[in-house]
Amino acid sequence: MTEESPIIELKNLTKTYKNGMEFHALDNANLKIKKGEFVAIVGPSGSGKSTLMHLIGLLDTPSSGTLLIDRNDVTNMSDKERSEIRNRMLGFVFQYHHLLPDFTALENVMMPLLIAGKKRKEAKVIAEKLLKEVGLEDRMDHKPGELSGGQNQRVAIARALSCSPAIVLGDEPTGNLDTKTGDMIYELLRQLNKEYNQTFIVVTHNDDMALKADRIIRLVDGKITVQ
Amino acid sequence: MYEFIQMYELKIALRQAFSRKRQTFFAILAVALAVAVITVMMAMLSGFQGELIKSSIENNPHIVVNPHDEKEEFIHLYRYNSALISEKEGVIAVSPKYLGQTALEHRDNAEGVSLQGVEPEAEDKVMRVSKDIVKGSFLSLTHTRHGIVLGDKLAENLGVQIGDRVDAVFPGSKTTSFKVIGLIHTGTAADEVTAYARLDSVQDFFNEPGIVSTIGVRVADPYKADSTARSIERETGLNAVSWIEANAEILNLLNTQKIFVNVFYLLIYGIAGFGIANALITIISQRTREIGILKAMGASQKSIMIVFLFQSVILGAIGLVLGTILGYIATITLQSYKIAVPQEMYYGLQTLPLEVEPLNFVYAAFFAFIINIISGIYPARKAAKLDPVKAIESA
Repeated sequence: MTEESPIIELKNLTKTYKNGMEFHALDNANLKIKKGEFVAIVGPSGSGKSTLMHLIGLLDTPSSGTLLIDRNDVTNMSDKERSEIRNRMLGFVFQYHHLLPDFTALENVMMPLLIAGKKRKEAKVIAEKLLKEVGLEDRMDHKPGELSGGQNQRVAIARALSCSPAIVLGDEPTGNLDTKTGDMIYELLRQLNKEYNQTFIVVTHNDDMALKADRIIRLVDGKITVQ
Repeated sequence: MYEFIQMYELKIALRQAFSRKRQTFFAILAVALAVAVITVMMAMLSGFQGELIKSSIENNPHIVVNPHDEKEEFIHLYRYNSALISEKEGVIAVSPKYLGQTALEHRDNAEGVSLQGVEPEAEDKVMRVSKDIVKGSFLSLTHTRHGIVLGDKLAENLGVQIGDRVDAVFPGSKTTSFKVIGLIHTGTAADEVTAYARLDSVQDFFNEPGIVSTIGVRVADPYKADSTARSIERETGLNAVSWIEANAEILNLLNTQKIFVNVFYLLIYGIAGFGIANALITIISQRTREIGILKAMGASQKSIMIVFLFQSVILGAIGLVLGTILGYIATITLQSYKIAVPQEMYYGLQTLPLEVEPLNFVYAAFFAFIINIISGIYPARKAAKLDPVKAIESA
């Protein structure tokens, strides 16, 4: 074990739903993800990909096992501590852009920074820079309703990156886009990954995209089968 | 590092509260109407009470001194007793009065009247008779030995005018002729039976010199009338009744009524509260996904709670400002219409009085605000506790 310690580590992580009968959405998962890695999670629907994402994203709590983020055990943290980690260390890109409809692209990207307690001016500078980077410098004052699917998804990526998170989580980030736009978004993610050395974990159905990742994690019936 | 309330919470609350205009409008309307209705009701109630007290205080003696027990009809040594009473602290005027039932005749007309023998200046100070004069003068009684002032209805029934003469007729008394020198109008039934003459003339007419029926007293501070009355009783041995005591029943009734009215207010506020809660629940159900996203971005439960509490406060604040304005306008408008009410039912009030009492508006607004925050808590808590995964995946 000469390598540096992993940014994410799962130890026997299990999520069980009791819905009449017990159902292991994630079954004893053990996994280490290094800083700067680009990891694709693949598997049939219902295999537990989303559950894994939600657990790593601190949106859901495991039934048993341990989750370490940057060597900290986050399993039993309070809502406030978990919220802070979500804000500072994690960035989310969902299948749908999930932008706040009442706010402009710029305001949406600024939001995580404002939640972090940054000053408006500071947040604005960072958000503008990121929107420029995803190629939307002339669309900053548009609301999500006035932007195309691909544009909104790029805003969502800028938002995910705004607090310079150590980890970016993508839940089928290109799943709702046409192939060409999807490829472009994927390339953008890859490029940002190399540029900033952030860790990317992306759930995808698309094998071509998965092949471009550093590593593929395959899930079947809640179990990690290939690493 | 974390301030209790952050700017972004307020910003989201503002943006969300005003993006769905119709919902926002109805929630605001619920609060505004509640506040308006309550302020108008308060204006009616305090106007009614104020008017009642005012008419009790203004046109009646603050204290009526009667013989010391009910079997006695008259107060003896009234000059001595009047002097004693007028020495008392806070007493402004003292008016001894002889009250007798008699008949007045003019040509073929005869009317039964309540003839009041008074010292005009003293009586005017206690009862403000002059302000009810519609013709002639009350104070000219002072230098008219056989002058008489009549209620305007009474004069009409007798068919007399100023300057005419009426005869007072009473068994065992010498029929005495009085000259009509003034007419009064109080707007009450008293206008049909009231007649004022000089105390000495009336005493002579009834052959009862040196005694009176009552002594009316006016004090500087009507709200201290009770203690002054007690002190008069101690010193003179006579029976003194303050206006507070005399109107105890009505004042009690008003206080009982207040309890019912407060229950009513509470119900109105309750309904407005449900309006706000309902609007908020609708807003939250429409924004479930956004709440999930905010959580994913790192907004804590406390932040989400504040976002929605803010919204209820914003809606409520606008509602109560509009409500106070609406209530004020409604009160002013109702004031300008004289709403007639049956006199018997409202203790002699002829119109429904409304009083703009600024403190009432403050109360109404303050309670509306409290109700608002209370009704915001449940929906806001629900929003805060939403499971982010389910919230994000919700359509």
